[in-house]
Amino acid sequence: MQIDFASSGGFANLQLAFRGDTETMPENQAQELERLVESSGVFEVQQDDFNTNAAIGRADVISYRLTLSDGPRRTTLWMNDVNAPASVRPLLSSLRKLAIEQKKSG
Amino acid sequence: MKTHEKQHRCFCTFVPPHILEHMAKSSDEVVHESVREAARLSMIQDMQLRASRAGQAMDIASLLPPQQGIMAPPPATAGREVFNCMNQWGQPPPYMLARGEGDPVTPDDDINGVYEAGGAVRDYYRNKLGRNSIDNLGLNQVHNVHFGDHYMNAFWDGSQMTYGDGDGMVFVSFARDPDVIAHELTHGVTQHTAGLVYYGQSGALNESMSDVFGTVIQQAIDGKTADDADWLIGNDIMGPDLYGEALRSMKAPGTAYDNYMFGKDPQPDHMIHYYHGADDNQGVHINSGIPNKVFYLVAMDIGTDKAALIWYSTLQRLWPTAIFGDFAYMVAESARLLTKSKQVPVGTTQTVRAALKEVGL
Repeated sequence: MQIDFASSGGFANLQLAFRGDTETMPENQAQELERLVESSGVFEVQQDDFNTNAAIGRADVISYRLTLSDGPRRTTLWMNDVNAPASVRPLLSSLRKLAIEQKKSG
Repeated sequence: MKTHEKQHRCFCTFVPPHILEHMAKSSDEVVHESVREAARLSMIQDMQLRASRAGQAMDIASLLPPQQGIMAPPPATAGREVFNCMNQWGQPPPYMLARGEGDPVTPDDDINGVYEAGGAVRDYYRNKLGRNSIDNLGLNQVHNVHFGDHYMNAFWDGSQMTYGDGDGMVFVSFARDPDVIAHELTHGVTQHTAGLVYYGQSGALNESMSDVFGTVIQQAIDGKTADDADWLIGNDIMGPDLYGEALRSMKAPGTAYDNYMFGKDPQPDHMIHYYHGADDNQGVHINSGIPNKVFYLVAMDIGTDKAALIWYSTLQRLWPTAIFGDFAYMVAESARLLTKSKQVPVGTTQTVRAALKEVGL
């Protein structure tokens, strides 16, 4: 599974990005990501499911772009801290952590 | 995955938004002040009504079952409601009410910190600026602490504040820094006054107002003046990895940080370095450095509280699509009117204009 993730915005305006392929990453990491992807149901989520209204007043919310490609299954979703499905949030959190670890390791 | 049935209801107004904007910006010679103010308020209400109902304030605590020893404040009493998300991700809250207005100290430092800082914010707006809470109608503050798993952020969602614990290395808990709490609550104040759209220059003004009142209230809490304040935003949430850094500097935009995690602080301190890119909603956290610097310069001359008075007055004069040029006009005008009413010293209007000139406005 290919993963292309980016997040931006928030109080700190921290720009993060992570790209990886579960075929080439450490086994433990790959298994955890695949577990999170499956439990999130992200391939069944439609962009139209998100409430893109109610932006008035909202501030310092982090925005996420997530692209996943796994054989015939592909998806790209844009979401944020307010409208992201609860089931997807652990996956987003894990990807942010991986992005930070990449930055730390240079 | 459950699909949601969306309601596509047309929200149509008789007077088009562009006409309201023109009226809000017109001079005294063209439009009477009362008409200008009516147009400005109509713009704000128009834009708020176009949003989903989810963005409107709710008295959440009254919907919860009562918990022993924890009292939810009555609605519209400017009361504080601090909820513990217990590191869950569900959105929107509420979760467990951990401390209501008047409740005793809890064992949780983050809950207590948010409660205390929320009170300081409420008291500053009320005692110094005459404002009754976020909406000036006593809206209760709703704070959601311990959101998510090592969540490195705090945000205002249109009706509530939410804070993460940080990862303990890059960031510590966002609930521990009063200027974060004041910053987020001020987004609510902006929502209920100018309604500055969170994009481009109006968004940068929105962010700047939150940094301004975040700093102002932090100084009030610390008992500091403009001369001995650090003028930094976010320095108290830096974890051990980045201790000594900050997220923004109002005194010297562009110098807050330079590290492997954040890169180099991109904030401009002058219009010639204005960020024109698309990131960050066209730079709302970036170009805010320019109006932030104006506030710093004015506060260093006349004092933080008097500068805050001018900025609060300006916030009540602006409109959702106001840009930097509009801000420059209104902040000088606010200074002039407050000089006339003897609330700021003679010469303040000129101080404000000099500060604007120094940043290229």
